Amino acid sequence: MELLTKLEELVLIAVLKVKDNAYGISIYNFIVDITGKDVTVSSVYFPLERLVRKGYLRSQKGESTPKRGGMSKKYYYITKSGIKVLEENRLLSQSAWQGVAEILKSAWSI
Amino acid sequence: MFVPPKTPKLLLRLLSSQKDNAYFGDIEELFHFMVETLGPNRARRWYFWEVLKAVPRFALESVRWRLVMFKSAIKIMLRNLQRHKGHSFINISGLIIGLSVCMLMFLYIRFELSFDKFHKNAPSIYRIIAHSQRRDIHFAATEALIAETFKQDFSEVRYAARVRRRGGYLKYEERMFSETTIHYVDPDYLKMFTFPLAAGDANYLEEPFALFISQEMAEKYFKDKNPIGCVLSLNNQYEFIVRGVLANIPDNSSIRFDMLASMSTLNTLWGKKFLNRWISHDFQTYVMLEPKADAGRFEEKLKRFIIPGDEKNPKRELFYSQPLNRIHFRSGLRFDDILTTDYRSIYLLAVISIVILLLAGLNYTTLATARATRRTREIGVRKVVGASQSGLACQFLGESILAALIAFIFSLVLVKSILPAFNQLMSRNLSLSVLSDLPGFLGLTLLVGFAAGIYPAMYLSSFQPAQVIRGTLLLRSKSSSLLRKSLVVTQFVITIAILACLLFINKQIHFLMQKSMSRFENPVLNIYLSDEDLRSRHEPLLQACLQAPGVLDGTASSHHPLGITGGTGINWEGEDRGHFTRFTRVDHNYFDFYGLNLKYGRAFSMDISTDKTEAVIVNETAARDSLWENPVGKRCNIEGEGVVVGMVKDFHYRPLHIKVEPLTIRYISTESFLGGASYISLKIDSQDIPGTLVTLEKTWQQFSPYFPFMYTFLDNTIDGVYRAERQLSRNLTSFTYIAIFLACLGLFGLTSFTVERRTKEIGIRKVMGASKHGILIMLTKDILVWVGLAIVAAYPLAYYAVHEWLKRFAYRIDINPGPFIIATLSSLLIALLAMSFQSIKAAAANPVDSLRYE
Repeated sequence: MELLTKLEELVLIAVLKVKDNAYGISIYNFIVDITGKDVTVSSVYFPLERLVRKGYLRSQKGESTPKRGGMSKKYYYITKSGIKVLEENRLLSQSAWQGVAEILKSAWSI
Repeated sequence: MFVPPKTPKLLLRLLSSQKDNAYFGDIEELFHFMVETLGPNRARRWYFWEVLKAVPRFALESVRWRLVMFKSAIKIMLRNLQRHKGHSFINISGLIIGLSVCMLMFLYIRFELSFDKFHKNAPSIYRIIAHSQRRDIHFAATEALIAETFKQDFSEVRYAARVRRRGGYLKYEERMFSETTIHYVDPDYLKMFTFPLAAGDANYLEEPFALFISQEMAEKYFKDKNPIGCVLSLNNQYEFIVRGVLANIPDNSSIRFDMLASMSTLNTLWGKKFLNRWISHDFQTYVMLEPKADAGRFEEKLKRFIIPGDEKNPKRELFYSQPLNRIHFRSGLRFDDILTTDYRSIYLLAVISIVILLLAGLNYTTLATARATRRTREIGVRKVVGASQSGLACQFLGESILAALIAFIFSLVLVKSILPAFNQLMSRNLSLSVLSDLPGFLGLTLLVGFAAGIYPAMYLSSFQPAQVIRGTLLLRSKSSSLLRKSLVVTQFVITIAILACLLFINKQIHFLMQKSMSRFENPVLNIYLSDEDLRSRHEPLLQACLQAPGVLDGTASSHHPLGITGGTGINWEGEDRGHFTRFTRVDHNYFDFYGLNLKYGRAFSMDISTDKTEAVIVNETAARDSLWENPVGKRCNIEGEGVVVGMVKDFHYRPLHIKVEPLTIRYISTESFLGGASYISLKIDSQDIPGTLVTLEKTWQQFSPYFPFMYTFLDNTIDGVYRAERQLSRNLTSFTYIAIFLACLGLFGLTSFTVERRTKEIGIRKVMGASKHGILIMLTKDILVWVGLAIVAAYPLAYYAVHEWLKRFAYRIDINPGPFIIATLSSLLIALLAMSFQSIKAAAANPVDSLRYE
């Protein structure tokens, strides 16, 4: 199993959630919404490309519009191994976080 | 509609390795969205910052990709090198030669340039040179009083010191050695020069018979003992006290000595008169100026200086100074005994090594370009898959740099291993220091790799993939073929010119040997008689030597037959003007012994009693000077009254650089007030030279138990006289080999290029019935024409060089076409050999293979 970075994890989740419309901007918007942070646009592309190289995502060229300066969109789809690695990471964090809430609460009370 | 600012995006485009990155589209889409929500100005600002923040990511990513590509490129380069072993070998060996030559020359030249720089006061030390106007001779030695006078009269001069070199036999207890470099110096000497004392006190340099010896000498004489205060005896006559030990002289010092003795010693030895006179060039004179002195003003004063007594003829002798930093680079001064290297020879070596490196680099270029055909397919495929032209160019450039680096490693090994031999050849002590020299050499290597690879990189990467794949690419560009051909022509011009020069130089050396007194059937031994006592008994000594078995003939003379340097005035009867003449004294057998022919009169005779007192023999030049055909019977005064009994044909009693001067010879005799012979010359049987030498030494010991038996072979002496010429010949021989090797590489490259380009043509010709040799002629004819052109261009070059070189000899060979013809024929032969390998292979190939090679 491969450990994903937080950003990779978020990007994979974003691709999964926005489904058929998963391209740069929608993924970016998803991450901004969920984190509430003003991350830079460019920060999503390198994890995306890395995930494609690792085989967790596949990309496909999409349509281009005049607003895009004639450049085409790139859509991302999750692959089977992508789903597998995401599930594994989910289970991992779940077991890692187990009981942490109680400890934090008691730590807080001191 | 608003358009986003262009500049930031351009920056990213430059950085990005993936031109189709979706980011570029997305960011523009977002920009338009921002324009709608935030307004154009804020959107622009937002866009600007966004793109700027993306820069580090893009930069990082592109480096990562380059590394990946670099790894694959290296792999492919190594594979290419392995697959084409022959080509790689030729390519790299050319570079190895070029780099090695450059490294060696760099080490040598750097060492030469470092000469005498270690003296702390070097910039303000000068040597005084005397220029005799009448004879136009520059003397490195000046009159005895110069140093003291300059120090007193010229405010600029702080220190002044004279140096006089002498030799002698030094003895400590049982150990006795012959020393040739004892420098007698003034007390200021050690204050000017940085020759540090390891022990002792420099102030003793004021006292007579004070001696300062080098560490090496201290070990030789005293082993582990402390030498300070010990007594060394000179020629068993004078006792010197060791007052100090000097650190060994650095290798890069022009001034070389083993011992320093105080100048005041010479006062005692020769009398004060000798050290206080305005005649004769006896001393090297060094001055050190005050730190703030104006060197220009000093020079002016020097030029106006007139020797006392010369007021009527102020231009007789003029003085000028030579900075210490430059004394190493000027040779040819009279009475100079420092170590010199002519600056012209340094230039020559620098130019030659740069030319060789240039040729090696250009060879690489030709060969790499020639291999283009083999790689068109690779280039086409790479381009189709998406390689950019600049990326490909970088790859090819990388290949040449890699080749240069490989060559660099080999040449380091090569240089390291041939350095001892090189040191011996150049009589230097160079060393390759890895730490300080490597970065420079590495830089040079990278430069060579880059320069050699840039043209093939541009050329190869410019192929159009469509043409390549379809096979319609025309590899025939006019300019590049001209480049290749002119390269080959240049190489052959250089090769033929060097070869012709070498042949001429060797011919002149042969001529020098022939003209010199030498090449006797049996070896000639010259024995030096070192002290007065022995000289006064030279006749019985000679007789005793002649008794020894193996000794065939013998003669005695006052000078070495190649070193008649003393001169004097001669007054002929009936003329009031004196003439200058060289002067020597020989015995009756001298002329027979050395095979000198008398044109008129007779040689000295033992039987004629007056010969010892008044007989004189002159040479042809002396007679011609006085406009006599036959001088026999003329009376003269030279060291006493004399009458001419014979005239000897001119012979070379000095190196052939110098014209034969008038020579007057008298009969040598122990009864003369001038003393006995300094040299005994013997012809010995070549059958048993060691045995004869042992017998002679025994005989010698009967006469002189104290002094060692010192002898030289005449042949060795002659070789020594022409050492510079031999050195040049040896250096040029090495360069000739290198030039021929490189020229062959170049030619080989050119031929393989032609052959590869015409593989199909050759196949078709053969199918149509062309013979092997027709094809051979077709392939070589073209190039031979170019080589012919090279020959024509090389002739004037070689002629000029040889002509200039020969000028230094008073006696020289004619420049005839012989060596040119030999150089031409041999280079043609070499050219044919270099070409034949590829051409014969091509001509013999089965046309089926060459036509099917697609």
